[in-house]
Amino acid sequence: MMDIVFASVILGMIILTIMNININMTQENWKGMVELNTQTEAIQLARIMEFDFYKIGYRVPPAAHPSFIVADSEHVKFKTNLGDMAGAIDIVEYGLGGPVLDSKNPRDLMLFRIENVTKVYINYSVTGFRVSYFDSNDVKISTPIFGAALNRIRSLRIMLKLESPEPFDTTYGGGYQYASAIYSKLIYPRNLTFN
Amino acid sequence: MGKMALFLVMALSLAVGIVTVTVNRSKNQLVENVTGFQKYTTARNIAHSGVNMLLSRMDSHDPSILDSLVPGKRAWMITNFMSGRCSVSIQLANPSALDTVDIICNSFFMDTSKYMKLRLRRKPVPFPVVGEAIGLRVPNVKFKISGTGGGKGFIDGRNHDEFGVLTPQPDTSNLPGVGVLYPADTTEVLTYKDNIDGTKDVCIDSSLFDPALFVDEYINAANITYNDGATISNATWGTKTNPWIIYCKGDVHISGTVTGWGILVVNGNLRVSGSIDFHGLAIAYKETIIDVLETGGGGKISNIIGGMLVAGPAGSSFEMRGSQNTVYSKKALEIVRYISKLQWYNILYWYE
Repeated sequence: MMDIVFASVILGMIILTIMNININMTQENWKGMVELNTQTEAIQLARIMEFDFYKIGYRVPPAAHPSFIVADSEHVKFKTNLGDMAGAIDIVEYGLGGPVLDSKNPRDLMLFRIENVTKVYINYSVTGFRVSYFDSNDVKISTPIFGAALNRIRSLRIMLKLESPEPFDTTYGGGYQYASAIYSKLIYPRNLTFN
Repeated sequence: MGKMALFLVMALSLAVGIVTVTVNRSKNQLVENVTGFQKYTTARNIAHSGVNMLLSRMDSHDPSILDSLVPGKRAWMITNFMSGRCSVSIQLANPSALDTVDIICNSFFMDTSKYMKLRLRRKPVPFPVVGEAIGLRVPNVKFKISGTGGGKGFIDGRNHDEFGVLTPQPDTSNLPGVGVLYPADTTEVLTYKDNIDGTKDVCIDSSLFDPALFVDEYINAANITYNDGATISNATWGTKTNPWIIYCKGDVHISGTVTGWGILVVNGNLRVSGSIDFHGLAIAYKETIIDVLETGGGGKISNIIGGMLVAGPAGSSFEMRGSQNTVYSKKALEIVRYISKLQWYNILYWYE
């Protein structure tokens, strides 16, 4: 009789332990997936943005200067020649759109990219997008930048923060926890130097 | 009971295994993403370094690069570094335009590649504007062309090709024969007007360039230097595709057969008695009284083809006693204008 009681207790402990392990591992697995997704998005976004930003001012003739059309802290619009086509001028624009409605994350916003006339929301998990501009002495230029001051821009720092749309931990007392990734880079578009 | 425990252990192991594999796969994918970006940035860094290495070699006048900047040629620089490979080529963007250069760079790192293209404009730093076949930047110049008949020297401001053959006339590129600083100096030159041709025999050119302002650039880049008092009997200075800069550190006497393409800089008296066949720009200058004497000729079509400048203080002289011909050639000047060592490169745009 005692053997059965002890066996039942041990069985119960084993089952509880297994359930606990299962919960933890599932949670870890979910967290890993969410982090992977967020960081993958950040890397893809970084590559798209670097492709565009390094080409700011490329083959923009002096008559079409300044290469920047809009230079604000969360909105940038510039001229370039993305496809290296003779005589072509492309206008590329980045900015933040509205909040993502079908996401649990209350902070995430849509990031849009406009190439000439085509507007595409390229990411739905952006919680921060800031652009800072610097002159040839690496002195920060206060935004928004207008008129002739646009010609002073020689470099820009991009700061991008992404968060997962779903929390990976809903049990944390301080609120839901979201996976996040930050991309920050100071970019010197070569062709701005030749202005 | 034992079977139950065994079953539980197996189930637990299976669950742990599945979760572990899933987590590992996620981590691996994350690593692949990060390393993919790392490979991309490394390839880009290799390309940047490759371009900078090429620009540095141009800056140090590397002939293996600069001598290739002629129509129909291309220079390659292939290097392995940072565990990757970089291939950079440079050539004229258009064979008919010597002032535009393209650099193409392809870098490879593991399975990732990066392409860059730069367009550069080059121009001589500085290169004088030649306004006459012979410019005499000498106040109160002593000018003389002596001899008789066909044995006299001749100065021709009409445009010639780079070999000294007169271009089809009339040519809008024609210039005056001789340029002087002041009106008073024209009288003496006009005494020999029969031996001068051009849009005018002589003109007043107050903008005649001062070689002292920039000749250091030429001296620093000289291919060959002669000492004061040198007598040059036989020499070949460069070729049409590889013109030289020749610097004479003092008085010089060209006595034999000399053939050359480039810029001849003489900081002293210049005497030419032999057979010279020089294509390009000849500059003779001196802080004290300078005497330029041409006595030979040697039956060449022309002896100095391009342009000539003499600069010195009042009382300096320019005399032609032999049958030397000095003719203006826009093409010859254009060729020496693009001596690779004298170029200043300006990046027009950079695609990356």
